[in-house]
This record gives sequence, C-alpha cells and structure tokens, in this order.
Amino acid sequence: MWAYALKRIVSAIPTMILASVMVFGLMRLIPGDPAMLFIGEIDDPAVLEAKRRELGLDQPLVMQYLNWAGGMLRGDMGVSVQTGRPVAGEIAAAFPVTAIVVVVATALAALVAIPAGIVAGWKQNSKTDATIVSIATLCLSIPGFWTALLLLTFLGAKWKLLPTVGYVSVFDDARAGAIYLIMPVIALVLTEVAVLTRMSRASTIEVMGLEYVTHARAKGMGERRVLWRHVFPNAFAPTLTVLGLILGHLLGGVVVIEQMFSLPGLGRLMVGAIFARDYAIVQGVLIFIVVIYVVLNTVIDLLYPVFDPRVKL
Amino acid sequence: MDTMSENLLEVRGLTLALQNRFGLYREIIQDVNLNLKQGHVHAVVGESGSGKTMLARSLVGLLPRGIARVAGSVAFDGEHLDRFSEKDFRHIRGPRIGFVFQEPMLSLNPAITVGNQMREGLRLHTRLSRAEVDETCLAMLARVGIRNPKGAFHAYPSEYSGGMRQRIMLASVLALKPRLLIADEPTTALDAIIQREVLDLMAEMTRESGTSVLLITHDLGLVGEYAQDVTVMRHGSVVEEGSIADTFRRPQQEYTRLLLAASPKRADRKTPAPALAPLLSVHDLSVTFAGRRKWPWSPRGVFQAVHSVSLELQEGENLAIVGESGSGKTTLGRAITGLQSYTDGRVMVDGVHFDPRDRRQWQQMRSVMQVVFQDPASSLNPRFRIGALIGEGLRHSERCDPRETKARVLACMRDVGLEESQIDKFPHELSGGQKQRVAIARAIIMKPRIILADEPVSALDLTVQAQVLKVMMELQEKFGFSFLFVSHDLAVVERVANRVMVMRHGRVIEVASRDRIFDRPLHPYTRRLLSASAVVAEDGKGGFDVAARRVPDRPAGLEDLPYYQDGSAYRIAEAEPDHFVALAKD
Repeated sequence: MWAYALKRIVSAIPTMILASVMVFGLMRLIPGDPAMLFIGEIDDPAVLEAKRRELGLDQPLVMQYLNWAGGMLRGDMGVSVQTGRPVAGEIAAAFPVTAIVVVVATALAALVAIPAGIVAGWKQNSKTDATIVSIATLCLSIPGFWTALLLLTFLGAKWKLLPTVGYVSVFDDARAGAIYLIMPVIALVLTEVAVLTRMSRASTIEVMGLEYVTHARAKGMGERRVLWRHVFPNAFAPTLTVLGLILGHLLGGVVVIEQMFSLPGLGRLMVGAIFARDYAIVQGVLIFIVVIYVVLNTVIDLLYPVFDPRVKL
Repeated sequence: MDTMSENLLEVRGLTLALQNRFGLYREIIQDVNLNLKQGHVHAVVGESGSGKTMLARSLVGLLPRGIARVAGSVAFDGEHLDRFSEKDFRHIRGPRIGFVFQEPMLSLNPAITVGNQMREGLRLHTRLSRAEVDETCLAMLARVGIRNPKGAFHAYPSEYSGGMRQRIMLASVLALKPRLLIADEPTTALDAIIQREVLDLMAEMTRESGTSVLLITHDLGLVGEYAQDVTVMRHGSVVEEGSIADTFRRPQQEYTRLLLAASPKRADRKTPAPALAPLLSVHDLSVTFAGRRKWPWSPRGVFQAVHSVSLELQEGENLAIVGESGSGKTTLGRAITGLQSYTDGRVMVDGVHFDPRDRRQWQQMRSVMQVVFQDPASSLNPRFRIGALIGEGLRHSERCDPRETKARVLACMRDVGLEESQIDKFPHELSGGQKQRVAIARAIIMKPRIILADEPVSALDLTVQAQVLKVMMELQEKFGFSFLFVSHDLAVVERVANRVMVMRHGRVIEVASRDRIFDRPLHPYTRRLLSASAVVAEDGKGGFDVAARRVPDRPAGLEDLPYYQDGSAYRIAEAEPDHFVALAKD
C-alpha cells in the first residue's frame, strides 16, 4: 500500500514535467506579443525592447522555460502582466469560487445519481428503470451551455427568480452565496449526473446477478438489507473511478459556465489572461489544474482498497 | 401410513415456466415429483439444462426474475410452501432451509468480513446476544476445521482458498441448524481431494444435527457414495426416482442407464512400440513467474510454477499430465507448445531443438503442435463463422486457394462429426459439445503430430464428454498424432492415456504406464488422489456399482521408500522398470 503510494507519487513527476512543457509550449504558439499589448499605443522600438527585457522575453525559449519552471519549484509562479500582482495570489483568490461550484456539483451528482442508478438497476426493466434511464439520456444530450442559457433566460431574465450576474461567497453570506450557486451548479451537473447514473445502474445490475446476492437472500434477509449491505458497497467501487474522472471533467467544464454566469473563478481568470497574453497567469492556472487532477486521481486509486478488500496495492 | 412424518419435503406436479411480458411461456420443468425422506441425503442428478437448479431454487422462492411456478405444490415439514409470500419465505430461508451454492469464490461477499457474513444469519433468525452470536460463529468455524477461527472472523473471503471458503459457507449455513440443506453442486469447483474432504464434512455435520440434504449434482460418483435416494432429471422432467441401490443396480429407464454408462472407463489401448528417438522430448523445463515487489527497490519475489520437468512422448502415444489446480500442469503444456516462455530447459521435437523465440521456427511448429483448450465458449472467436474458425490455420501457414481450403474444412468437419450445413453458423449457435468438436477440427486441419489437449472435456456433460472422447480417439487412430492430455479428471485419464504423469506444486510426482499408475501407485500423493475419486462400474448383471476407488497395496519392497514430501530435497528415481517416482534426496 505505502509502496504503491510512493510509486504513484514518484510517477507523477514525469507527468508534471511533460504537462509543464506542453502548457509552456502551447502559450508560445499563440500569436501576439505580451510586451506589445503591455505598452499599448507607444510606438517606440526602444520602449518595446526594454519591456521585453523586463519580462524576460528576449531570452531563448529554453531559458524562459527553465526560469519559469525553476520559479515554480521555489513557489514563485511569477507576476501577472495585467495587474502586476503575484500569480499565486490571483489563483488563491479565484480558486475557492471554482472549488465550491465543482465540489457542490460533484456531491450533488453523487447524491442524486448513485441512488438513482442503484434503484434503476435493482428494478431493471421496470417502469421505474425506464423512467430513470430516459431522464438520464435526456440530460446527457443537453450541452451544459444550453442548459445555462435556458436557466438564465427563464429563471433569471423572464421570471426574475434568481440573480443572473454577480457572485457572493458562501463563506461571507451562506444564504446569498447559495442563491448565486444554484444556476451554475445545475448547468454544470446535469450531464455528469446522467453519466454517473448509467455507470451506477450498470454496476448494480452486474452485482445483482452475482451469487453472493442470491446467497444473502437465501439467508432470509430482506430486500432492502440485501441491497444496502451486499449490493451497494460492491457496486460503488467502479462508480468511484467515474467520480474521479467527473471531478476532473468538471474543472474543465466550469470554464464555460463561469463565463456565462460571470463567476470570478479560475476559468474566468484564465480566459481573461489568454486574451491579454498574460502568460504567467495562464501557465499558472493550467499547471495548478494539472496538479489538482493528478492528486485527485492518486487519492481515488489509493481509496480503492477501502471499498474492495480484494484490491491489494 | 402418515407420509408427512416420513417425508420432510414433498414436491407434487411442480411446473415452472419462463414468462415474458406478453404472458407467453416456455416450461422449464414439467410435472416434477420428489419425496425427500427425513434425515436422508437425496440427490438430484442431471446434465446441464435438466432444470435441477431451478427446481432447488423454487423450493425457497429464489427463482430468477421471469420464471414462475405455474402448477404443482410443495410441502415442507407439514407446511405448503406454494402459498408462501416473499415475507414468509424469508423466515424459512436460513433457519429451516439452508442453501449452499456451487462457487465458493462467488457466493461469499468479497467486501464483508467472514465474521460479519456469518453473523447476519444468526442475528436475523435467533434471539442470541451479540456475544452468543460470535461464540456460535467461532465454534462453527472451529468445527469445520478452520485453523485460526478468531483470525478468520476478521478476514475477508478472498484470503481463503476455494475449499476453505466452502467450509466457511457450510459453517455459516449450518450454524442455524436448518431442517433441510440444499447443496447445489457444492464441490464441483473444487479439486478431487478437497471435494472429498468437504463432502465428508458436510455428511458428518448434517448427520449430527439431523439435517436432511438435497444434493444437486451432475457427478454420479458422488451420488453413489453420499446419497441414499436419487432423482434423475432430463430436459426438465423426472426420469426416475428411487433409492440408490435400486436405481443404480436396476436402472428402469434408458436415460439413467445411458448416464451411468457414460462415465469414462478404462479401455484397452495399444501402446505404440517405442521408437529409437521420441517424437517430443523435454529436458529440465522450468517456468518462473515474477512476483510483486514490496517496495520499488526491494527484489522481486519469484514463484516457480514448473520445477525442472523432463518428459518424452512417443509417436502415437497419449501422455496424460494429471494434477490439481496449481500443480503447474497447464503451464507445463503451454511452455512445451511455446505459448508460455520458460526460464530454463529445452524442448526437442524429432531431435531438433525448438526455440519459440525464433519466429520462423515458431511458424513451422504450428503445423507440428496444435492446442485444444478447455472452454470452447471462450476459445472460439464469437465473430467468426465455423468455416473460418476451422480454416484459419491454413490461411496463415500454407497457401491454399479458397476452394481447397473449403474442401479441407468440410473434410475435417465430417471427421469430427459435424454437419456440413453448420459451416456458416456462429459458435453461439452450437452446443458445448459441438463447439469442442470445432476446436478439435481446428487443430487437426493442420495435420499436427502432437495435440496439446488442456482439459478438453471438463466443461462438458457426461454423455457429451463420452462422445467427444470417442471422436478424439478415433481421430488419433486415423491420423496417428500424439496427445499431451492435461486433466484433473482421473476417470477421463484412465480412459484415454497410455502413460500418466502426476504433478504437484510444479514437480513430477510419479510417471508410469497408465495401468501401473492405477493398479500399483507408489507415491502417497498419487494414492491419495486415486482414493479421492469414485468409480462407476458395470456389475455384470445389467446394473452399475458406484464405489470409491480401491487403491491396491504397494508391491513388496517398495513400501518404505523415502517418498518425497513438501519441503524435503527432491529427486526422481526409477523405482521399478519404467516407473518413476519422486523421492526425498538422501
């Protein structure tokens, strides 16, 4: 177990190096010079050159990469060209917004989808099953941004039930914060609920067909206990993997949703930075997301033996 | 006479049917009657599809969805079960009727500790306190021979072998002292010696607690030894019911006779004259598998599956490699054919060294050695038609035009007893026996000189098994190839082998001609293996006798050899001419 954990952590190092090279390289492929954007209308080669030197853009690409990567290792993610504030601080300010949306969405997905999937699997081919599967398929076929538009149009603009623009942190004001979260979370979560429901249904059906379930019934256990004690724990293990993937997927999906609901999260920070050629911010955010992704998936892999004692890491 | 006092279970005219949503149905079992006497072990025998499992499940209301009782009645212990609701059944299951399933690997929940699974039943059905429940569980675990009951209590099922799990299962089911135990193929998944131990334990424990047993099985040997009464089923109907003595000695029905006669028996086999050089010779073959590392820097453990095995196979000879699971018999076979890389040793075919890493040689070897696998359901690609499956080897090795390929495929199909019209079928459209015939046809179309048959008939029903073995022997007669026959089934080996090699834990234990192995086995392990199997034999008066195999005494002078045991140093020696046995090194 500990050897496996160590192995996983060590194997994350090459992943991180590769990801950082790709993040860095991709940014340089985007046309446009940040120094030029920075000095704006001043049309003086000397000023431009000085700015380039100040930002370190005059050095060869390899040196630029090493400087940046070296800084990251020391905990220095650089400074935003737009605001002049440290990148780390910008991320620290934006991350809680994104984190709350994603965590609430994932928790909601798990709470709705796993029970729904288990019930559908348990009552396989019944009306309940058909209803749950149809709803899941419907949710799966609506893109998140479309749901967002519908929500904004009806709940926001037409019926004025929920605010369309703005954000209040739940840490400052729980009630107001929650109200601002409703629409983004729904828009984000519907597709994931559908995926998770189908996954949980499939693994429930598989476990229901196994002999130890029949054996539990042969002991004289009631159907509800059979389901709770014997089916659920075993059906949950494969669902856990999907849950990890969903967390990562949501981090990506949230970029669009944050734009639409103008939430001051990581996604908006990054999109703004891309337009401004703010290399340090974009690279910083991307690397940050990669780290979260790697950590989450490692944690989930390590959680496996908790749910399935047959798994020996 | 009051029948209820005598019969614990009475089934009258039971008919089960598979219903679809339009209400149309197909009968699974028809008009079944069964009388189980108080305290008896009553066997229900039948081949796959005979409905024996559905019959058992219907008794406790555990039929799969879609299957329902449409007629008949079941009386158990004076009550009519057929009027029972799901809730009533719940009180019956466990305390009054216990159920043991076939696959101990599947019937214990992998996510729950042994202790918690055992507690469930007692908690549900008794008023014992927590401490009393635990005490009962521990006592039962000790009773079934689990060495460290306390440890087992907190362990997960995956930490135990199949035999141990089935013991745990028995402990958990019998802890409630049910009146009736339904055992559905309880030992089919286990090795012979372990099967015997588990059944002995079951018989002993049910006798102690006065529990009657309904034993569902396809194994006539078991029936003859452990049951008092038998019901023979076929295609969902009862063929014959009666006491073992009556039914086996004087079978009334043709099918019962057929089933009894289908058990493989020793047949005369001519031994090919030994040629100067053997067709295949294997020298000191070893296979090791790398184990897991504890830490990335710690050395990898190794597991040695085959320990320096040597053997020779003559042209036209059948060498059977016998052993229990984990004996390395399958790995050895795969290593010889080059399907498994080996760490040490040489394989010589016709005096030429065969190196499986040499691509060209590997290709040539395919027309010399062919393989028939155990499970035809998974060894035939479900997307290929029968014709393509059989002819595939030709496409890769020889340039055959389509006409010639088809002609050869059809010839092979006739040889193995398939209809020509089946050439365009898919594997799933064929029965198990037909599929295995396809696998055999696929092997012989290459005109091989050696066929490795890895448990070729153990997935088949007894009557089908007899037919497939017959085809295999006829083909051998016709084409003259040799068989390397890997099997755990001594009856099958006795039927087909010229020579037998017994393996255990990757080592050769004993090698000799078939008659020597069966008539004067030397090594204690071989003797144990033989005594664990039962023989169905014709009694010469038109009936059959089933008895445990009698193992003859060792010949004088060979009783006290220093036979090899686990842990001692190993050597193989010729105890008498052409009879090799593993001894402890002096």
